[in-house]
Amino acid sequence: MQPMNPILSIVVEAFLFISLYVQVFLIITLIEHRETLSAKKGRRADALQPIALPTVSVIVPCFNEQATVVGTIESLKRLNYPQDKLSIIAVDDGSTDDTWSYLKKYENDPQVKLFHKDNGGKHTAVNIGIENSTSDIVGCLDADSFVHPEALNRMVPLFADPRVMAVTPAIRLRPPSKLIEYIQNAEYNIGVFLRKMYSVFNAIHVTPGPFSMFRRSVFEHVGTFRSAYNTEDLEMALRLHSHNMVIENAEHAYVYTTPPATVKALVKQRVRWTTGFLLNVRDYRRLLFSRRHGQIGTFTLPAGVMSLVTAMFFAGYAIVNAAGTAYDNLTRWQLVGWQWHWPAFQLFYLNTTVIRLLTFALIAAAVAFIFFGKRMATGTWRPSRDMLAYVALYGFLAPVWVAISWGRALTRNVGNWR
Amino acid sequence: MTSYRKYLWAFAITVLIFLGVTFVSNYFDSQRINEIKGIQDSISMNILSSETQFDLLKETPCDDLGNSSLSQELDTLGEQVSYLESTRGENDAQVTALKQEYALLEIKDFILMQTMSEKCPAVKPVFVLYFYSNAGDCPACSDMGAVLTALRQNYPEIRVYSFDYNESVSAVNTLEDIYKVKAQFPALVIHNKPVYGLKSLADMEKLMPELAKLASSTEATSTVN
Repeated sequence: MQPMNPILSIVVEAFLFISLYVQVFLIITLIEHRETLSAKKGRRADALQPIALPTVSVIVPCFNEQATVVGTIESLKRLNYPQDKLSIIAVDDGSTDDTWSYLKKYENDPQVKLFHKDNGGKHTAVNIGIENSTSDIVGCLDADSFVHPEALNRMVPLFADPRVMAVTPAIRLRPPSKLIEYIQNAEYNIGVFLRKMYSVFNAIHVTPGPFSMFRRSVFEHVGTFRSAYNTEDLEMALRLHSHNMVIENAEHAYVYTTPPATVKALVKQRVRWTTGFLLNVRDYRRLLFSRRHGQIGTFTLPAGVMSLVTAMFFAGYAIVNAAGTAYDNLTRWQLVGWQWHWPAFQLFYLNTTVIRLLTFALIAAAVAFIFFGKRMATGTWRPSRDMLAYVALYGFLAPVWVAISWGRALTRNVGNWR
Repeated sequence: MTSYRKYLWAFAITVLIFLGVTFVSNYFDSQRINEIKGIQDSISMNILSSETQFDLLKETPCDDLGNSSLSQELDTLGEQVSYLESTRGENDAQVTALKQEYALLEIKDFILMQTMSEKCPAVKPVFVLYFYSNAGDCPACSDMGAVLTALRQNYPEIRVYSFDYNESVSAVNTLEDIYKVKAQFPALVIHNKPVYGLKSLADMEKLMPELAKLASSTEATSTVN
């Protein structure tokens, strides 16, 4: 075993310090807003109950969604919200399957408006919906997602605050059944926690496709969705921030989405998200460290970029180490042949270097975040196997899409995600 | 909390965690150093005791001087010192002090063993002196170390005395002079002659044919037991 190069050691410690700083910052935020861990759903929403319910339009952009689109629309129709105040706008973005014929089932439904257009990308479909809506609040729901019947009720009251221009939900997965879905389930629960924390200091960086709600007037001020590296929902959030608008989060407004079912599909989706994040941050770099635009620029975006740099660094470091160990073992095997001894545990050899201890602290905090997310998303603290799957495997998966995304972002190769 | 205060608080807490972790890490290291010092004291006491016993009874029955356990202890000590060297770095003052003391203990054990073999014809020590370098001029040294570890595991009776060639301990330098060891690494002294370059386990067995006997005597003993 060779001692670690002192310069490398400082670099590793610097990365660990920054990661720890981000975690400490989030934990302080949580302590300040510990009521978010309360099991009572929608308490804040109750407190903010507005006098009159606003009218709401939900746009469902569809491209080849014949398998799920009816379920999506039905879940919207089951929302506990007055029918005369809720309209559904389904826009078929030039599907090549039977989506349109499935949609036509709603031709005579007064609550549903249907549009058909040539394929132009999801944002063009959403824009058609926005242009054809007259409601106070306009939202969007991806055609592979389903809403909890109380979701809208838990989001709308947040608009009672006149500064709030958009409200994001808590996105969860439909009950997972495969390993790859279990991993994502824990990840989405962390997402529930993070989005809530970002919301308390108005630094949510994405208004996700599944069920984000906007004041209609927002689009008059800042314009409608525009092409943005296949991550138009992220661009829209950054655009709102660049106009100093407030994005809220309703942590108990559940939306269930369908996760990619294969590793390949997952990597493809995450490459799209991550590349889009990097390129949009580049386009909105004026937000970075700008105090005028609040903590989106001083916390969320730098922490996000830094986490992608850190992931790359540690993945590279781990690969180089593993390759070195493999090479050493091969050489030793050639020199001494096969020698097997049961590894004897001796306290003396327990690794207690600063780097190792800090790594444990970081992992402990990440596990705590999974529990916080689980509590917010499901109301329980109970450990579940998705957490184990996440802790054991996510670290091997994420670097794959992070590496591809850096490559694409640096060459501005956005790729085709459909 | 106003936002800039929160940033400062988060920074302060992170620094505190960092300092705390450094403190804990140093605490564990100091425990390790104490453990090593304890072993060194005990070995040094054992060597002194053997030497005294030897001087007292010029004609000591050679049977009473079986000290393979001492060799075992020295091996453990050697592994612990090199572990500490790998985690704290070779320039660490405490590591250097421990290494120097360890080298001296090895030499004392070596001398004692030589004397014993002269006086007790039954004692036929099998030993290797190993000189390595940490100055960056010996990429093969870690592999050589692994071969010697395997050698000790396969033949527990063998004694491997390893020394940092660049150690500023005059006794080590004297040893280098006695056996005319040049600064070519890894360097071994087998049958009182220097041998250079990385050797595999099979090479070592060829260089020391007496190992075969050791192996068979070990097997014989274990069968009897």
